[in-house]
Amino acid sequence: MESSSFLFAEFLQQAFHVSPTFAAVLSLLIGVGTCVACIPLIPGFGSYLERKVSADIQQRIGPNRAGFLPFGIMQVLADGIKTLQKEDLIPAHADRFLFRAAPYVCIVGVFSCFAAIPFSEYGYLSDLNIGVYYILCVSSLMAVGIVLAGWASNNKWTLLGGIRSAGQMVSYEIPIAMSVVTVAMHFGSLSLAEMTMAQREGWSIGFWNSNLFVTLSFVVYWIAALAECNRTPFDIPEAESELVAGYFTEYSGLRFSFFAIAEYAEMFVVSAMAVVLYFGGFYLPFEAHLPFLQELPDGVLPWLHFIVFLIKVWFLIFLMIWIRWTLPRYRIDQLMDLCWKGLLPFAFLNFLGSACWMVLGG
Amino acid sequence: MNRIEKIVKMIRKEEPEVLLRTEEEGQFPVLRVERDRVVPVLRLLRDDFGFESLMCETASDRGDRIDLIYHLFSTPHRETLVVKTVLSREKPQVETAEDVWKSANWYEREIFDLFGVEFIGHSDLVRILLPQDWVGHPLRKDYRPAPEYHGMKIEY
Amino acid sequence: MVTTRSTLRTQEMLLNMGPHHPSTHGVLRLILRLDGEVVEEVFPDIGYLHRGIEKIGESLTYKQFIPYTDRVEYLASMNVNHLYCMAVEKLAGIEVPERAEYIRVIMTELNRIISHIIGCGALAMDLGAFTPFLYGVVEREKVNDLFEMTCGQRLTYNYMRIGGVSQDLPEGFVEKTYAFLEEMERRWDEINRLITENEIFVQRLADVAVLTEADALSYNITGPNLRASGVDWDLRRDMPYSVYDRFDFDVPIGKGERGTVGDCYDRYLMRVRETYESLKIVRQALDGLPEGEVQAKVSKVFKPPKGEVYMRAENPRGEMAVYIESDGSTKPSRIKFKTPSFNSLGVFNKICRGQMLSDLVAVIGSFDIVLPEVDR
Repeated sequence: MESSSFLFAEFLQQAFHVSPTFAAVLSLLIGVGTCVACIPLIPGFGSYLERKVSADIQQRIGPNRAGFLPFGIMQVLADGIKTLQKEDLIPAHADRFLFRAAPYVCIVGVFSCFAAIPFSEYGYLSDLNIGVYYILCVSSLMAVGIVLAGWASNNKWTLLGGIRSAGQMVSYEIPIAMSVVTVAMHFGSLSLAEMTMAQREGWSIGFWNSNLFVTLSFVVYWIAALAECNRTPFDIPEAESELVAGYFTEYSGLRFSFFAIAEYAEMFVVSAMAVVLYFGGFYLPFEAHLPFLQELPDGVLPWLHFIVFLIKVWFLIFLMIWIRWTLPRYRIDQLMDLCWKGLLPFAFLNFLGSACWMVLGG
Repeated sequence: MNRIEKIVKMIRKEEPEVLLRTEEEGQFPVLRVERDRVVPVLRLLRDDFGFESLMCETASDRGDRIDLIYHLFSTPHRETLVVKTVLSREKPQVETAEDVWKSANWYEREIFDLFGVEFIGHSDLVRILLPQDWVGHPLRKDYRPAPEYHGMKIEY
Repeated sequence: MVTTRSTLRTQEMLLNMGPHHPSTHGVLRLILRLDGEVVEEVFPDIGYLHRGIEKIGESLTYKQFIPYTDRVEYLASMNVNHLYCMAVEKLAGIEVPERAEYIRVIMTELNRIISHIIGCGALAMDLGAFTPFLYGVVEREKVNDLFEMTCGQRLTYNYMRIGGVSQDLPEGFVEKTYAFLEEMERRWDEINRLITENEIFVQRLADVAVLTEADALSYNITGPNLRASGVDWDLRRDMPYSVYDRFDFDVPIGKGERGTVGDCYDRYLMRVRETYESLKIVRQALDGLPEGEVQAKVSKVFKPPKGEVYMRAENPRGEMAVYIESDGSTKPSRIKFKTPSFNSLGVFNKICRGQMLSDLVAVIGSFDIVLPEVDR
């Protein structure tokens, strides 16, 4: 597979006769720019979905008045404009530099993950051969940002939120890693693109047909992913009824919305990971058995794949929202118990089981 | 009223000259008790007659004196008993019932706050409903609020 | 060296929870001494809503004071109305017509139902489950509509009068109430399925902040909170007032079904079960609703005889009592409201030690504290 930025660089080189280095740098810059410009659409749509789904679950109507478009779609824009207008407050005794830096750390951590996600055959910035590893590492940066925010605000509530989140995110990274390793071992690759390709032949919606333990590792992955995103029932770092708003209590305006953007983008990233690892990536179900797809005109199939990928991801995000508005919240010690006494041993056993399956079952 | 008579007899024996008189014509039987011995009587009532909870402790400004009123209740016997004692208006002081019933702690803080009754031996006798620096005790009949509180006009 | 909590040097933190914290159910301020997230001590600081209702009462006539009783507890105004009117009637020896008594029971029990809806819903909301609260509010809205068609108000009803109620039930009230009871039973089952047996919810409440029987009595905790500690006591059954002796209902007792007797889960469960009992009482009261007057004859210038009265009633949050001293004039010389939440808050420092910060919101929710009632 060739990345879109690579193809674009080739195109630049041929069309404008620029040097290969210049073309590569330019195409990368344009690619990153497009990505950064498009990612804020995710929290926009995410927050709209959250409002509408929660409203539906709670027998309410949800936003339906903002703007001239039906169904309150303009609410997203209204929210954005509202946060832009808010005063940017910094508490008097806060560490001003760290306070300002924390949202950027979060944003950078999450946005960097998008580089390795294969949206379709050509829709990715870089085919890293350690893509999974890269995403796991870079997304941990969010924990750093949250701890910084909690610490720098110089507020006891935010501090509690920051400490909680540090404990939670560090703990839950291990089950995530273990379940990802189980999948990686199954495919024999750490590249997200290769993992996707390998699923073209299968059912493309989970592969319990080939390895039961890999499917089981999705359970671990999904629970831990909810915790990674600070979603209910694991939203204790921001538990609004206990810690006021947790680590971002003192933030307002654009900086506050950066945290919201980072949160929804993180949801997108973990859902996209789940799609790639367990649900066949951008492929349609049974794609290898659908020959008419190959007869589509040039350039249609990648776009179709792109849409399929988005549908799968948004379905998982919907699942997260559904869980959030149904379940109450864990307490911090119960959360840690669940991780260290429940998920982690299960993930290790699962890993062993998968290895045995591969050795014995071929 | 059999039990009440027994209670009165017992108290007369244990604490002579404490019981001033009993009133039985009202809603509940009332024991009027000397101020200095009210807590021993209350302890006796709790230990020997099963009045395990203090429903209400309150005061009332009668113009020339302050009445302190304890409403006792015994769940197993379904019996209410009122104990009253009289305090002077100038320097109202009485021993705390906090050691007898835990609920007395907050009741007495409230009475201290609103009537200015001092409870000797109370563990945490500070104002509970009003701000700590409030002047006066509002439920006294002669209470007149100060003109202002931290620059805010009180009376309109 | 093994690092345990005793060898690890930690610094205590003084944390100010409230008065504008999202889950203190009003303006309550708790000053917490924390070791990490473990609560070492709790000092409730109350009084933010003190309006001096008792002082106001001394300058109003007995009838004028009724609207103020609504404001003592805004989630169960009918019950406080009822309590105050009963006390004054007892003081003056007024007989209330039978129909009025039945109407009062219907109203207070309906109010108990919606108060428990809010209590249980708010507890779930404090624990992070927002949805049950809104399910409950839908049902509460229907009762509010019933109240509105009866007395024109949705929150502070001012419906009861000394010697009866302000007006007879409007046309269609009985049918609508029957319809509500039917619907509510079904919906309350549904809400319970969503939350009561939820594993996370149970874990958060079981064995948290256990209140022993001895403590409950010594601190004079009453109502559902007392029953959760295993004391079989309900004023409506054991010392019936109004016409409660004519109805058949059960009194749920805490058995420590998921943990210890007297934990937060028991306190929650009491409210859930009591709601079913209240539904039963309302149904029986509607079935037996007699015809007749709804207001006894009370003179325009109302002067009760000299004396005093102490009246208790089983309110949603526990036993509320009113103590009235009359000097024979048109105005009471002393009114005292003894409120259940005041006592509940008093026990906090005792039972919250060693719990975690997150448990504290569960404790506040499980005691179902309403702050106007604490501060009066």
